[in-house]
Amino acid sequence: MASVQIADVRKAYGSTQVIHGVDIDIDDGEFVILVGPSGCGKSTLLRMIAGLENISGGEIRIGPKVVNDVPPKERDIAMVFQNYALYPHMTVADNMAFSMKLRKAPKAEIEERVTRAAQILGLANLLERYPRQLSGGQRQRVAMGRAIVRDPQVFLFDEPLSNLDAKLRVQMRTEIKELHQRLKTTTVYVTHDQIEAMTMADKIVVMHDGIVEQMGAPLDLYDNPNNLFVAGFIGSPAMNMLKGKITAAGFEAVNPKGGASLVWPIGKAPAGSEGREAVYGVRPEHVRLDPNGIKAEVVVIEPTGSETQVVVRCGGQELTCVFRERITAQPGESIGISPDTSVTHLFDAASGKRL
Amino acid sequence: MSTRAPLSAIALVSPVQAMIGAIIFLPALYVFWLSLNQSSFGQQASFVGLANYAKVLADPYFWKALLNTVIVVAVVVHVELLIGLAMALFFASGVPFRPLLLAIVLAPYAVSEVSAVVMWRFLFEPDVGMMSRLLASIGLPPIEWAVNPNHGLAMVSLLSIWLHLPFSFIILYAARLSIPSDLYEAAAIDGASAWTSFRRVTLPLLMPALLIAALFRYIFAFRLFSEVWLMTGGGPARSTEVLAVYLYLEAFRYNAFGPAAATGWLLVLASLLLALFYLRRLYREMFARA
Repeated sequence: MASVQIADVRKAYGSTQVIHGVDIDIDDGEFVILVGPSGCGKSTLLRMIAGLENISGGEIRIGPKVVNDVPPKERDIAMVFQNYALYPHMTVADNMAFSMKLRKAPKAEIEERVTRAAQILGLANLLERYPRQLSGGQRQRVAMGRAIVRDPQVFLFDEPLSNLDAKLRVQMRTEIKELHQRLKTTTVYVTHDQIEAMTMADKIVVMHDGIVEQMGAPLDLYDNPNNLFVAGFIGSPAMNMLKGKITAAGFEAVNPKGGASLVWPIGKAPAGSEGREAVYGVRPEHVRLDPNGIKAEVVVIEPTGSETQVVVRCGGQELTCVFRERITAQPGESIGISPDTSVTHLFDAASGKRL
Repeated sequence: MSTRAPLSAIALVSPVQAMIGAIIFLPALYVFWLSLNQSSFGQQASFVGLANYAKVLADPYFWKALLNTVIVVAVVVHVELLIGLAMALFFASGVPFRPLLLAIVLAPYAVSEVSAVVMWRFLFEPDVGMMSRLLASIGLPPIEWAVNPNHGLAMVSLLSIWLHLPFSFIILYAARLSIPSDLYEAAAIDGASAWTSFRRVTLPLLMPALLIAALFRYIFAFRLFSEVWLMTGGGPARSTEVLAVYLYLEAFRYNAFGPAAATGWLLVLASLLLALFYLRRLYREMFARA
């Protein structure tokens, strides 16, 4: 096991820079998830850690060693690929043993490690099968088995669950997390799915257009997003965002339809922010039903059983709300809502930064 | 779905079936019948049993032709596959001007065998040929393909390789391109060197394509005729004959249709025998492991 330090790492293809100076410290044993929309540079960064892409600038350390010019096989890492990258002409056992065979490890040791990995992952009776005879979930496990057998310093996962169906994805999520708790190997995991990131990570790194927007513990990012991008990316359904102006009475939202503008309550406006152009953010789950609150017209109701997702229109804008209660109102009818002012957010309209 | 093909479906495929029957199946049967009879121009065929086979198998020229064929075919097919494989890997590793180079590499396939032989005869003409003079200028002896039987067969092999290389190349290149690149990344992380990832990843995954290319080339190469016929004519003194040339001479120079027909069937048997090894491997490789 080892820590990983990424210091001012840059990547350019020709004159196009895709990663603009990224700094991330990953502690020994930590489970770090790089998350962001496609094209944000998260996979490229992972591949640079693996040594599959060269580093245009900056430094990557695994443990105490700078690995910029170290070939992948000497970095002591194991990687799980999006399409699994299992060798189709080898059995499950051979796939898992391949790296150790190349290192000329003793036969008994190889066998012992393959058997142990197979037990951990429930592959024991599939060892003689070929990858094409396995289901997607089983292939996924073999790919992880291949990584475990190596007993590497760092595990790298490149969107490993994106080819699985929704149910299996949830199950594998738990399995990977459990595996990490058991092996405690430093892990860097790339995904575009913020739920995966929230549920599995010790630390989330939100990336966008080749820079780190914010990093921190999942709930920290959820509670205190640094900027509009993180606020909109983390959390599902996404945070409601209203444009407008901070006034003495609260937040005066612009009415795009040209009617009267609504004033939303805010907890405590930052000092001297009165009159400032801003964005008001409130998560759907932080809007409560309140007969004395803001009158809103119901547009769509989506009950999921445990909760009810409601899209409402007020002040010329649409808002998504999630209520624990069941709603009897019909579309077109009016309900009263009010935001929980202890967890509303204000962002600067121009810079997008948190106020 | 019913397993019985409806009449209309049979009617639709019947023209093709009739054509295949008329130009392949019936002639093959006719040749088999011919091989059991003695006949020539203006002579009534008379049944002789397996005498034609006995006669051919007793003919030292047949054995010489068979040996020549097997040697040339083995050399041509294996060298061709080796060069084709090397080129496929080279192309897959990323070459500049790929479309242009591809066109150049594939060009020989568009040349007819006759034109190719004529070209090569000019190039290697012992006195004035460009290649002969090039060889002379770097101090190498000329290739005496018209007088030395070994040189003649070597020339035929070279020509044949040059002519058919695009076929092997394109099959192997396509197969190589279909190997996903993340396998090589996984191998690099697993600790494979360039050589190990070739031996443990590329080669096993190219094996089906290699076997298919080998099989096709064996069958095509066994029919080798025009290159030899136009280059050496089987000479000097019948020493560079291959089976197809032997057959042609029997049929149209000695007018012995029976032995020629017998040779034809022996040719089929010999190529099947050779192909059998590859077919078995292919079967194991592609179906048995499913």
